[in-house]
Amino acid sequence: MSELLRAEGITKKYGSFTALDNVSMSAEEGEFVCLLGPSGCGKTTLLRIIAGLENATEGKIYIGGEDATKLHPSKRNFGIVFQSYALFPNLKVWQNIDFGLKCKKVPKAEREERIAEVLDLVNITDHKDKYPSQLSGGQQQRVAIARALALSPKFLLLDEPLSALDAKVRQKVRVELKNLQNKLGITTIMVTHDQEEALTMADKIVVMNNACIKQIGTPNEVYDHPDSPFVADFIGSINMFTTNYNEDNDDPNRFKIKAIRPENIEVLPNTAPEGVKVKVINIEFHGATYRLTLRLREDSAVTLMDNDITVDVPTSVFTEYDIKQGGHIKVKFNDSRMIYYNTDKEQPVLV
Amino acid sequence: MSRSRLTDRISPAEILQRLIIILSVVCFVFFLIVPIITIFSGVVTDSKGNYVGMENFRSYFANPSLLTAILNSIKISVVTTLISVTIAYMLAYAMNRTAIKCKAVYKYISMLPLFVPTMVHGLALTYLFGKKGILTSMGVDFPVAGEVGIVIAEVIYTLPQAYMVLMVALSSTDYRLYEAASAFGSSSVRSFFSITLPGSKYGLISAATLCFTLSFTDFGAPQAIGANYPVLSTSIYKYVVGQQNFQMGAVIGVLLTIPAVISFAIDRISAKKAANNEISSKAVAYKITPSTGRDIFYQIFCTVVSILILSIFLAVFTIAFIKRWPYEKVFTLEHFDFSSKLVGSGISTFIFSIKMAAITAIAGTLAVFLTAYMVYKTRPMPMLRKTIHFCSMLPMALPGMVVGLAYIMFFNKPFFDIEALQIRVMNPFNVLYQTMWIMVIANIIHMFSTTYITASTALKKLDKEYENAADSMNIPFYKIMAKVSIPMCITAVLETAQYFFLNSMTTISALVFLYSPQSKPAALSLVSMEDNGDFESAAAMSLIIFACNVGMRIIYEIVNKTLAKRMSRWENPKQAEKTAKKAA
Ligand SMILES: Nc1ncnc2c1ncn2[C@@H]1O[C@H](COP(=O)(O)OP(=O)(O)OP(=O)(O)O)[C@@H](O)[C@H]1O
Ligand SMILES: [Mg+2]
Repeated sequence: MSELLRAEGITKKYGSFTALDNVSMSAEEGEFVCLLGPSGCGKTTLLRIIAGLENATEGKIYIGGEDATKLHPSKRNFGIVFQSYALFPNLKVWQNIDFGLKCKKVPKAEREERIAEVLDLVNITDHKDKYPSQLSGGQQQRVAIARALALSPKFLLLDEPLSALDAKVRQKVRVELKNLQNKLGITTIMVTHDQEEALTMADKIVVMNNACIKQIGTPNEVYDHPDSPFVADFIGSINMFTTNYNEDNDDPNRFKIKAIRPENIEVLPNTAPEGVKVKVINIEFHGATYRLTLRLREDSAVTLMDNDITVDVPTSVFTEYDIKQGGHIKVKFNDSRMIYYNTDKEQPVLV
Repeated sequence: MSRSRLTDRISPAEILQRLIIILSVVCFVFFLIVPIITIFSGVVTDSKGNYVGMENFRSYFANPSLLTAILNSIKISVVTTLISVTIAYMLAYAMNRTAIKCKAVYKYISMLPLFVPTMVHGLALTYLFGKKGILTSMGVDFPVAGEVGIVIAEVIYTLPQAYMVLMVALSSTDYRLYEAASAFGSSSVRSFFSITLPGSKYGLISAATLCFTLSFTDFGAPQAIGANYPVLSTSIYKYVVGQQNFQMGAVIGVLLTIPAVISFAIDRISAKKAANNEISSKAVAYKITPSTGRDIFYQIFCTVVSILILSIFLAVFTIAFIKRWPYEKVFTLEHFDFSSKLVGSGISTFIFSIKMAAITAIAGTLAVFLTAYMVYKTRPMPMLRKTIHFCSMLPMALPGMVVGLAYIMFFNKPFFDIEALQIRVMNPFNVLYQTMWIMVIANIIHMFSTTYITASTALKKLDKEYENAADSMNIPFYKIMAKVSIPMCITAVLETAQYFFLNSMTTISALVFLYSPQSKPAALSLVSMEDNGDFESAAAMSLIIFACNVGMRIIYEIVNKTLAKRMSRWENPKQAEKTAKKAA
């Protein structure tokens, strides 16, 4: 695989406000990259700079190895789907797709063929004579994708394309979109603030926070080996404890953060010989599992800081151990999955 | 850098955008900034162009009749504002908060004064109360010429404008406030003073500043009925047209501009505050509580106001169709045959007006939308686009007469002497002098701000990603503008065009300095007809203008309705629901 897109040292300032601070990332040919981060971290800004819809204050954009920093958006050969879809409301579905082809002076017969092709690709052929307002959110989103694909772009940019859909449709479209991307093998950069979306769809996740990139890696890498407490906390659920560094000797002024995901904590009955004694503070039903909030008992064998622990237990285990609110059980940490961070502060600061 | 690299950075469409942006800056410079500078430099120079400092002002204030003119103008405007805003408020209140019958009829009647030049209101008063007036001959003795007449005419002129502003202010409120008030046992009078009035505060401010500026700068009404009562607008006319004293004209022009600038500032500030005070989306629409006494009062009030407005038009009809009131009370159409009259050039002025108004409407709408589109929907040249935005808002602070005077001072110069360089530069715009085009440009600039606000409000409502999506597909901006943006705000386009047309047909203030015998609009022919005491022809001409404007308005309404229906298909269902509710 060769590299198709690269952003190098991108900084974007709005007056004195820094929206992006020396950000670098790349996308391979055919790769599905997710830009993931909390609201306001600069994901959209980065995407728009890649598209050329915004100029970077500093840094360079390379497309296919060539410097495209100053290239006009219309010359970058990409398709884009905006959060609002930005379908032209006064044009029918097929006209929306036709517009770009017409401006490219594609002959009529070829245009019709191409329209039919992309409509079929996103499975929306039946609605081609409707206006966008007459379509559901999911259908509009598909039209937007069809429109973006019609000109056979080199890469596809998606800005939170699923966020306007309700949860059920979102899951379905997620699968469709990923399949489509696989089938076409088109390089795709998608912005999202939904970690689940990123984990399920991406080949590569770029995790951002506060105008900076925190980590770049495959979903497995960022989930299992988060570089920082921020990434650990932002992606998936995680339990974090601060412990005195001193406990493991070394510098007395420094603290250590220990982090472990709920699925790496084993729940044992109160009668079990090993494990840490905890009290059940809260129970949440999640369908196939229960999520328990637990607190260390005063007489338990270890002393951690007073953070609560979150654990997921399957329904069968839940009934078997007869877990009740206020009841006592034991937990066992899977030490090989424990993640450690150093920090100066007492509380885990998510940076 | 090689040629291909350069066109990579900028697409051809973007080059076009840059050209349009530069072109509109150039237009603003020559048709707005330079004329304004010319008028201001006229203030501090003598007739030969030598710098004299504040000398012109000094001689102005040394002239007692001019001092009187200022005081008179202020007096007229204050009284007009008080009366007009009060009546307009009560009308708007009646429409929104009472259950009176025939609301639509009252609404249309109160809009009628918009369809004729302001001179007509003054003329009509003469037809009613003048020496040979209709009511005078019936024994009513109400000497209206002068102060009283001007105020009445200005009230009629400003009423629809104040009414429209206040309609908006009173139509939006949160009924929950009234429910809460009545739960606390507050009387309806108290609710009015504690909720209704404060709730329409910004509307009142903007209606008042509007009325004040309009009546302060109006030329038509004082010209028609002012007799020898001096006000600023008629003084500036006398100095410039009568004595060719441009210096004194410039001084009066500056004085005329002051209230407009102040209102402009007040209006901007209060608009900003009003935006912060917007009623919540959860607001409940006002429910009209039954109250027979209130309804009877407002029914009578609205009827009286309507009758007064109608009587103005009735007077014009009577004079236009009667041979010679009060001597020969027989029906005739001869006043509509202008060919027998030497004065006012007759029907050709009307044809000229139609032509001018149509060109203004088309060119103006084009210019306004193109400008607003460049400012709000393009990326290049941010500083220039900000400048354009500023220039677009500037004409709001310029009275029509000042625009006209600035134009004549700038355009009639065949050349400029640049003393420092000892060179003489031809004035290329001098060719426009005394043509229709100078009037078209003056009209467009004069009405630019209002229409620009309409256009930009409509464009701002559109998703700003349309242009970005278009860029990604290599669709040039003019195609997206023609196929998407403009069709999406076609109702605003029509509104703008009809505003330009209507106002070009009726305005005289900007044109009074610019016309020539060969290029003379109908509204201005009224001035010379009145000067010559040819009241019958003036009435006939007023009616023709009126009929034309009403006809145009009807066409506009029909087209608008048809388009609105077509456009409802494009709206998303939620929005369509809202529109439907609004309509109901
Ligand atoms: N035109 C602008 N002028 C000033 N600040 C801006 C502008 N555009 C974006 N910003 C700021 O830059 C920061 C990053 O914005 P951006 O839209 O990239 O965030 P985001 O990560 O996409 O967030 P979200 O998930 O909410 O869409 C924000 O704090 C935003 O307020
Ligand atoms: Mg965003």
